[in-house]
Amino acid sequence: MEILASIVQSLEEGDEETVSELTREALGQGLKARDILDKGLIAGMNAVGVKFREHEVFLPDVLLSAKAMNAGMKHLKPHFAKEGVPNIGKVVLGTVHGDLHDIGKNLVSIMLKGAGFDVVDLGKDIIPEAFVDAAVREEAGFLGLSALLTTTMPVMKDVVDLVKKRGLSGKLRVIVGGAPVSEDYARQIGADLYAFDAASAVDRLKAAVGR
Amino acid sequence: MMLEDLTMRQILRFSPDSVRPERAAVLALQGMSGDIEPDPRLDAYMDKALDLLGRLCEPSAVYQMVSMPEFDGVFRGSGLNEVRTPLAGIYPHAQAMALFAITLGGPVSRRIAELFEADDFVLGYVLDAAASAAADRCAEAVQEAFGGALVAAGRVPSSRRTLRYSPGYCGWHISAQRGLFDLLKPEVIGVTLGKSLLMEPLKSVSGVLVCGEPGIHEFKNAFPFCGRCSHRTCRGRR
Ligand code: B12
Repeated sequence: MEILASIVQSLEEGDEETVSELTREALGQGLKARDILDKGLIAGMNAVGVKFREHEVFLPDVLLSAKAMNAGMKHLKPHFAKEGVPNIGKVVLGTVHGDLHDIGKNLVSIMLKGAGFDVVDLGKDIIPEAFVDAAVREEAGFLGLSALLTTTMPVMKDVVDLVKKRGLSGKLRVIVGGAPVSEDYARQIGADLYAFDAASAVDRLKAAVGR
Repeated sequence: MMLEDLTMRQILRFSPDSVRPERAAVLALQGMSGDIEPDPRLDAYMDKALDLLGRLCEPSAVYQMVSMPEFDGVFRGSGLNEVRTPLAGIYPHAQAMALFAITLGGPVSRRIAELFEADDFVLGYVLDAAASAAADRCAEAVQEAFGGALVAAGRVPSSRRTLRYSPGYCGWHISAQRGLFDLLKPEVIGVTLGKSLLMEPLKSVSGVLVCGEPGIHEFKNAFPFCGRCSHRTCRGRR
C-alpha cells in the first residue's frame, strides 16, 4: 500500500516520470488497476484540488499533476479495455454555437477527468441539437456548456430548453460556465448547475453525484 | 499634409519582440500575481511559450480617425449600452479619436489548439496566457502609435493622454462591434467579425483610442457593473 501513497505524493508534485514508473511497478506488484486509479491517481488529483482551492498551488501546477496522471493512466487503460475506465459520472462538454473559445472548457475537461469523471468533449461551436443528441447517445448524466461572450450565452438557454422539450430534465442535468456566465444567469435560464471555474466545476459535479 | 495623413488611417506591423509580454503579466493571467514564485518547471514552460510566441505571432494593427458624430453612432451601436457608462462621460471631451483593431494572427491560436489536442496542455495553457498578454501589449502599441502621431502632427500638445476602450467592457455593449467594423474595415489586417460578434483570429482586440486632457479619462469605478468586474484597478488607467 506504500506505493499508492508514493503515487499520491508524486502526483501532487506533478512528477510525470515517477508517477509513470510507480504505476507500472504497482501493477507489477499485483495491485488492482481500479485501486491504483482510485487510491493513487484520483486521490492525488483530489489532494492537488484541495491545495488549489486553498491557493497553495495554481492552475499550471494542477495541469502538471494532470499530465502526470495521464502518464499513469497509459499503463492502467489496457487493464480497463473490456469494461472501460471506471468513472463516477459521464459529462458531455462543449463550447456553444457561435463561440470558438475553448481553453476554459478544455481546463474543465482536464480537471473533471482528474476527479474520475468520464468526459466526452464535443469541441467548440456546437449547436443545441448536437449537444443533446450526444448526451443521449453517450447516456451522459451531465451536459457542460461553455461560452466566453455575452452574445453566445443565449445558446445555453436554447440547450436547456431542448433538454426540457425532449423530456430529459432530471435525467440529464446541465452545468454552465465561462467568463461572462454567473450563478444568476444560470438560474434565469433554468440550468441545473453553475461553476465559476474548473475546480468548482469538479466540486459541483461531485456533489451532484453524491461524492 | 503628409503628417496629417499619418494620423488618419494607418496599418501597422509590429515585430514579435515589440509585443513580447512581461513574465509577470503572463503569470497574472494564470492567477499568479505579486510575489508568488512559480515552480521552476513552469519557468521552463514560460521560456518555451515565449519562444513559440516569438516565432508564431504576426502582430498587426489598423487605426482610423473618426469624427465625434461618427463615433456617437458607433458608441450607440444597437442601443444596448448600460444606462450609465464611463466612456459616455469621456469621449465627448476628446480632442481626437480613432477606431482600432489589432491581431496576433491565426498561427498562434492554431498552435494553442494543437497543443491541447496533443495533450500538451501545460504548454498550451501557458502559450494561451502569453498570447493574451501579447495581444494586450499590441493594443498598447497602437495606442502609443496613435498618440505619438497626433503629437508629431502638431494636432495635440504632448501633455495629452491617449487611452483605449473596447466594446464589451465597462457597459459599452459588444454589439458596437458591427458599426466599428463597418467604418474601420479591419479585414485589411485579417480580422473578421462573425455573426455572434466574435473576432477571428481569437487573439484580436478592437476599440476606440481617445486622446484628450489626462483628466478626461478619470472616473470613479462605482458603476453598477464595476462590482462584477475583476479588474478592480482598471488596468492601464494609471
Ligand atoms: C484574456 C482575455 C482576452 C484576450 C484573449 C481572449 C481569449 N480567450 O483568447 C484578448 C485580449 C485577445 C481578449 C479579447 C476580447 N475580449 Co476578452 N477577456 C480576457 C479575460 C481577461 C480572460 C479570459 C481568459 O482567457 N481566461 C482564462 C480561461 C482559462 O478562463 P475561462 O475561459 O473563463 O474559463 C474558466 C471559467 O470561465 C470556467 N469555465 C469555462 N467554461 C466552462 C464550462 C463549464 C461547464 C463550467 C462549469 C465552467 C467553465 O472554468 C474555466 C477554467 O477555470 C476575460 C475576463 C475574465 N477575467 O475572465 C475577458 C473577456 C472574456 N473579454 C471580453 C471581451 C468583451 C473581449 C473583446 C470583445 C474586447 C474587444 N472589443 O476587443 C475581445 C474579443 C476577442 C474576440 N476574438 O472576439 C469580455 C466578454 C464578455 C462580453 N461582454 O461579451 C470579458 C469577460 C471581459 C469583461 N468585459 O468582463 N480578451
